[in-house]
Amino acid sequence: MTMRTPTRSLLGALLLTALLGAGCYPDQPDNIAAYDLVYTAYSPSYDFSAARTYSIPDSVVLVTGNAADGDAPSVVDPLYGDQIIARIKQNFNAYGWEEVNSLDSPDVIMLPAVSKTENVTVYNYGWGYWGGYYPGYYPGWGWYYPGYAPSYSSYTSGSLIMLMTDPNGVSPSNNVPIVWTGVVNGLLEGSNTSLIARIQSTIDEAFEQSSILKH
Amino acid sequence: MLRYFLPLAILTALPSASKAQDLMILEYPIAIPVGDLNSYINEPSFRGFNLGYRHMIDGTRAVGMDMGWQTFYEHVDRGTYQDDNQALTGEQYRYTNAFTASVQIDQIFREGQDIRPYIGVGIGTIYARRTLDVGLYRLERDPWQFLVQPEVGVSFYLANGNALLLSANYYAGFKSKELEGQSFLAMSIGYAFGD
Repeated sequence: MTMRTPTRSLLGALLLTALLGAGCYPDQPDNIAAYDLVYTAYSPSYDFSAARTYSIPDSVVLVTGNAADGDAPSVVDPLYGDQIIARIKQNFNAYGWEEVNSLDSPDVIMLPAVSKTENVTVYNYGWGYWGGYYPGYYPGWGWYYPGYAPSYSSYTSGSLIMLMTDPNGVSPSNNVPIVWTGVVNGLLEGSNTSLIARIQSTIDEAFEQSSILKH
Repeated sequence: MLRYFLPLAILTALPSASKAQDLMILEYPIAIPVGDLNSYINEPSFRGFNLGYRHMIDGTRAVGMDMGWQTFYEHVDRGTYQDDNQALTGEQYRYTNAFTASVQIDQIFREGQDIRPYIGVGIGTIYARRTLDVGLYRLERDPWQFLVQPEVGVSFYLANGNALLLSANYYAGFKSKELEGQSFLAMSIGYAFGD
């Protein structure tokens, strides 16, 4: 080999340093708007074509930590919560689904929640929030993701979390399968008037991403 | 850009032995993504470098190895990226860091001349780390793939066994379980010096 003199080795190292300075990731987001995103994931093992009916609560719960079983959960201001519910229903219906009561054996149950909390793992906000709504629920239930693991962030300020569950697939250990996950992140930014428009457009994008839900 | 070439200019001024049997090569490549990599990132890359070593078997043939690193990057204002059962919509920062290593064999023409064209081919591996950042999310895939690397080039003799190189290399990655073949074409300027 060749590098015989210290001078050459030094110059080679300088050259490498200059090139390495270019970096693996040359550009990164530099404004808050760049963090506005929509993420969805679904279970590859669930037969979406066979699911036709859904139910959804009347309000969007506000994740404030882990609600204790039996406590009434906080809910999102109806000014926004109603818009979220209405937009989810609108997209479901446009994809050929039919809304039913949660006690009328829906194929799926959609659970919408908003998290304003920082540094909380996005999906694990505890079943206690749904104790008053979910059919057959009793304390101690959990949930799982059949056949997939959604990507998540540990920094969740301002996220709308939509979990589509299969109430007919509860495991023997009382874990409810989440067959589709949708997350809209970045919703705490911007004015109130623009917020509603962004809620609507981002929920639309979540469904547009998920043609598998279309009948 | 100047910072890349400046050390190269300094190196060319160094003295070296005249009978080079072993050569070290430093190259600065500009790369154009091809195929699936081009579908993911449709921008040329000006970030990379190559290191090479050649042993001259005789006056016209050489064997050795190449190692390289190339960073591809593209910013997409707002779009949707599908990845099997996942999808992300948002402002996207797409990266692929491609690390290559190959064993090469070269045929050099016009022995004894100052300007010598050469052709070569190599086989090895490419480690392609594909990263997608959307907001706070990051999706990653990082396959190792079989690599074939044909090259053509010209060397310009400078002095004391040193030479300037201009070359074109095609890095052809082969499809693996995780990702389609990751391939790119690189045009390089380089500097060779020997003992």
